[in-house]
Amino acid sequence: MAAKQPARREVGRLEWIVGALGAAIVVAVLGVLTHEALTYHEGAPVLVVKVLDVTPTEGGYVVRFMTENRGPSTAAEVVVAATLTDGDRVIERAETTLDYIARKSDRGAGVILKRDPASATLEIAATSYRKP
Amino acid sequence: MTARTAARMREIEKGFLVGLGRAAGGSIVFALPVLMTMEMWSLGASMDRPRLALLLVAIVPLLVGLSHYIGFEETETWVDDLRDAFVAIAVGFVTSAIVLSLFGLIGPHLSFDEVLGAIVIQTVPASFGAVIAQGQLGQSDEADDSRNKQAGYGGSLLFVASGAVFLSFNIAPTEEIDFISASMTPWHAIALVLVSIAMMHAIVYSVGFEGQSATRPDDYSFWSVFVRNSLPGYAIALLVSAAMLWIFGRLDDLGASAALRLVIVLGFPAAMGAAFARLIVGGQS
Repeated sequence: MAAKQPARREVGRLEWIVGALGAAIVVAVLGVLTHEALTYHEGAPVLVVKVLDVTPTEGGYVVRFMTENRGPSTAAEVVVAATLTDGDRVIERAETTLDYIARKSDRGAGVILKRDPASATLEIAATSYRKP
Repeated sequence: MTARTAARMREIEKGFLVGLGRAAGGSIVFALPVLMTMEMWSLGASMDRPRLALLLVAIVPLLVGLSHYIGFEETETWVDDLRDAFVAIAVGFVTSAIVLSLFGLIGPHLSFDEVLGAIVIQTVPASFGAVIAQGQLGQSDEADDSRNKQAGYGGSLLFVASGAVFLSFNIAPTEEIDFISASMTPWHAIALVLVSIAMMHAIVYSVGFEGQSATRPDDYSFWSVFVRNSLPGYAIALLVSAAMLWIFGRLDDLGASAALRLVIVLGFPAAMGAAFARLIVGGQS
């Protein structure tokens, strides 16, 4: 091909495919975001804590749990407090802060207690959060 | 199809693959600061969905414009530019997804919302980088070179806007700008505005983002450049920084004066990015 000729650049099929992929990504993402925007409503986060297991270790009893946000909005700096009670008496208290839990998501965390949680009543619940 | 054209087609596809590799490299280089910033991951989950969609829509014309003036490939028609913009988005989306997965930041343990949001945010600088990679790292090509020089006033304003987005995007979501604007007195703010404009003018006047020396117009005087380029450039930088802050939801809880101060603080990097747009984005010209 003569160098002088200001030929239109030839485009391979692959380039069209990748370009179409990009367009498809944009359209699909916009579709999902629009769907989310339409179904979204401002509401309180619903924070539910579930204990996974308790492992006795040299450093204490490690209580692993999942905090699930079933609500429609994201919560930041979620404080989860664990209290070990025997009747009315609080034996031990521990808490941890989770950076953020997106809506319809969960985060794992743990607290470490000195006393065996099986020997008393263990309660774990989210106690506060901040709007991100 | 003859053997000769088949060979030619293979050559074209091979050339495109090399270009894709370069684009992927560029997208990683430009997106790394954002990829490794914590605010960016959480933003994807918490950001207002319509604004996130708007961000994705807004980068398409910016990429089309960039591709037209500097080019991921040498481009002829607006269809080429549009295709290149979408190629850049595809490259940016895929590289962001891969790097975020490598870091363990996205995965099945997160909700779909979070994963998608994180990738979309990273796609912005990554697709920018994919287009710019050609301007900075690739060989210069004649067609784009000449168009670079003929970019004209509209083209130069586009460079300004993309440069402003480029530099302010990384900074807009950080906590630090809140802290900076809170620790400034009104006098500091005034001084920052004046310094921003002065620095912008100094860079613009010496670098000259319109036409370069080859076609330096007669009216290339101090005041002419100041009124036609530096002042509108700063105005664009402020608009871009306000738009960035609004999209990231940073202006939502602020009063008018606090918001303006935040815009001015972010306007500083935006103005620097705008002024250096010709160096960062314009590449070889």
